[in-house]
Amino acid sequence: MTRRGKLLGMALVGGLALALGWVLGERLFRHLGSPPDIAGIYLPDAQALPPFQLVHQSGRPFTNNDLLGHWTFLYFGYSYCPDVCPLALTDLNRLQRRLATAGADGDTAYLFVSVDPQRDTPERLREYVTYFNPKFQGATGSDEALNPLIKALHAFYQRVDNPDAPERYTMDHTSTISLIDPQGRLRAIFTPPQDPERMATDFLAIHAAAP
Amino acid sequence: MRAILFGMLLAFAAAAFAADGNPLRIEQPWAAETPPAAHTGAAYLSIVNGGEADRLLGAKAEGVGHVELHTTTMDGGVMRMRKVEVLEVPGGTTTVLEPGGIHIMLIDLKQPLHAGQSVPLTLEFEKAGALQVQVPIRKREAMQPSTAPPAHEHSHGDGQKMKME
Ligand SMILES: [Cu+2]
Repeated sequence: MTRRGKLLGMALVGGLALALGWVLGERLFRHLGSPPDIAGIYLPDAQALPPFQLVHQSGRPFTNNDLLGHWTFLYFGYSYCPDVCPLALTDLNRLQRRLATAGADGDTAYLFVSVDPQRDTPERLREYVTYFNPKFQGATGSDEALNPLIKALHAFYQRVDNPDAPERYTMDHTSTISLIDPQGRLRAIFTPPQDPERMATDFLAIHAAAP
Repeated sequence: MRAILFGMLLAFAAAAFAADGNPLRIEQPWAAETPPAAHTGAAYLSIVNGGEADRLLGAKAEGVGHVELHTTTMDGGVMRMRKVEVLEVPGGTTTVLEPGGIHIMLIDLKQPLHAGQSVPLTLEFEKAGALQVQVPIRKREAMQPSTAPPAHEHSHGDGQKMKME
């Protein structure tokens, strides 16, 4: 091997090592650097959502595309629920107002996904969610339509029959609030009991850390 | 159990209640205003029992199709609402019904609940008999503490560490 060849080889190896170091370092930094410490679960690598299609409160389809370009706080529930769902929506309302005050509400959306399509028609959902905040939106769908989203957001729901009165069934459901990023990917899950002040702080940290 | 605050009032409560003969007193009743589309509502209150153990068997309310007692539990982030057939009201204690804990569920509302109005509620106790309460309707916003309600604190050992599969 010539002297020139040797030098070239060394440069190549050196360059490669440098590149590898940079890539590894960057990944390490991204993972260990400073992932926001939130009251819930933060996903350093946002999780893409599978294709889904629900029905929006306006009656039109609601798909992955409707999540693009803004952050979405998503809650699963049902309007027949008199206690925990109104509690969660009241907290989301506080969160929205807190973010608005902080001037950080420009690119946020709030979505209530009903797991009870039998009782929650789009029209009914619209009346229900906008009562809590005019900015809130509702969507629902059949079990098949809900399933991809439920799975991807690590959620669960199940109908509980009422032996005394079939029409008065209730739904068990996950009471987490999922945060979807502007690329339509799952970025964080806020676990109950959620505190609106804390969620606002956490969201600002996540927002700041987002590329 | 979490909904029961052991009364510090025990000693003098007995004396205070002896006056009107009924050992049970209802405090801080309120029902949450409902969205226009709601079929259901919830009422909350505290039952101060200065006498012997009693049991709440059921309730009725004007303008409401059915009234049931419900408890909400949170397990691994999943909310479950279950009917309570009978609510034990131990003597010398205050039993608290509050958001996220036990609620009086108002089912099949004839009309939405509007803040400023009230719901006439009749509670049926095993020993004390029927107790009537005017339940004022309030906006949830005004009643819920701005941080998470204390009712959630105890049942959340697992809830916080929800598993990701
Ligand atoms: Cu209930």
